[in-house]
Amino acid sequence: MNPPTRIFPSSESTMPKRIDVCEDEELVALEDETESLTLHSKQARHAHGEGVEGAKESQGGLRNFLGELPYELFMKVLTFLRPSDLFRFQRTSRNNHAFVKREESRISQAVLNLRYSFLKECFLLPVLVTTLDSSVRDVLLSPERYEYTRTDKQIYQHVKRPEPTETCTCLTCVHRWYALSILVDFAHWQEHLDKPYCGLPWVPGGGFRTWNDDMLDDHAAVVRKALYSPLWYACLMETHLTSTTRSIRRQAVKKGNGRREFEMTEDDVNSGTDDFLNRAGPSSLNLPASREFYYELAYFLPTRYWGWRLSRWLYIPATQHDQDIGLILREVALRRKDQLAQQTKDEASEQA
Amino acid sequence: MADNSMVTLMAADHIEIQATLQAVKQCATLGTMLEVLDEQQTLGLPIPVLEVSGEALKKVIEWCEYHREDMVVETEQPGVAAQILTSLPQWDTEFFANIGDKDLLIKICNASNFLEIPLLLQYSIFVIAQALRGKSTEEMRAFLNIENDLTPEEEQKIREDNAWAMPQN
Repeated sequence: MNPPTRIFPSSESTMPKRIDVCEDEELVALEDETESLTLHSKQARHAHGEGVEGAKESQGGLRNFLGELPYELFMKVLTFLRPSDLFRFQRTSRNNHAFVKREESRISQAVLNLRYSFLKECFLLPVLVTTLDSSVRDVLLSPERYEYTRTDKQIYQHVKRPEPTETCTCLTCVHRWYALSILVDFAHWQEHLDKPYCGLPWVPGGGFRTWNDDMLDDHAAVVRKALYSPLWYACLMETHLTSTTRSIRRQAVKKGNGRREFEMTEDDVNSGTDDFLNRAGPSSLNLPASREFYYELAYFLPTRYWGWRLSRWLYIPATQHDQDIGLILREVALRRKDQLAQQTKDEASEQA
Repeated sequence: MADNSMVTLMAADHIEIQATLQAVKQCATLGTMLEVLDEQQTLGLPIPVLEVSGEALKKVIEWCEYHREDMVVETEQPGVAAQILTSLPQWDTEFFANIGDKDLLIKICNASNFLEIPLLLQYSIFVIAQALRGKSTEEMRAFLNIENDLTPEEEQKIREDNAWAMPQN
């Protein structure tokens, strides 16, 4: 039996770089003498299995499953994973660890857009001091603001104050720091909150270092990781989605409190996305001032409120930080002007 | 050529697969080929799909036949990927459940990429990711056939650094 006629040339026929011109016999066969191009792009490297774990990497002679995928599809698989899965995947091998590290920003951004598009609006990161303009940085770190920003003055029992040399101390950024810190603390106490009659432990006072101080340090370390690592930030959003679904469930059981409930189905919980948080519901703008507030917290989504006229959630814009910085600079300029006027007045009175 | 007329596709391993023209048009690559080619000269000849094995092509065409009357979805549009996360349709869930073999799943993924079937590509990527969901590092290694080349010290360091993010690993 003859092989079927081909409409297109087979891959084998294109392999030798020889172009035969058959229709015109007067022409001789053309020989392509150009050398094959060697691709050096990142995609080409990935296509050959470098970095993406390696298509040839094997265990007992078996092919690596994901190594069979080209770079862009491999990336897409990773963007469908949850941040906690990405952390575990990162640990599977040295190559995968390096790959996720290298592509962390792209992967995390895609994961955030896909799964936590509303949560990320509620929990913006405080601005790092190193990214601020030097003139702004000088003002923020000046002794004049020390009293306002000093970290030894602990305000809340459940969250640590932000470090002024690390994050911006404008009102917006301080609020963002506290919101993220409360997110971590709230997640820590979920087991306790799920159990009725199992209260949150009492924090001993008296100026001694307690388990709570250690815990605040640990939680602050987690938030600090999120400041620098997009994957850690995405992981915080995943954690808070879990805390949120748990707290909504808890509050739904308490029928007697007369509060508006937030609509949430089992499918919403299983989807692993925050899409359901876009439904209408009560606002939760205020930060819980202590752990006692966790008991009655239906959910904690700061910086957003329901716009009744527009029938949608409104978020405090990211540019609020710039407005706050503007206010601080104006305030400092005024204060310095007053000080200068006072100084001139004092000098004049001394001379008189 | 009428949309219900049959077309023969020939896979890399010379396996021939019959498909309706409507189903073939779900594959942008083949749809463009058929538009460009002279119908009179190509009528009745098998269309070679040399990048795809017969086994994978058969499954891809099965999917295309079921979805042949659907609009071709542009998966890069915002919200499409999120929609897949919340609900994979029943038929498609069963389609992927019946595949069983993970090598075939990868082949289908690559085939849908080559043939430009955006929705099947997105579904297969999602199914691969779903297979990894909730697995421990050790389970992931076993599932993906990955050899652990990290030294115990390196592994311990990664574990310590990410202890909060993956308490159960």
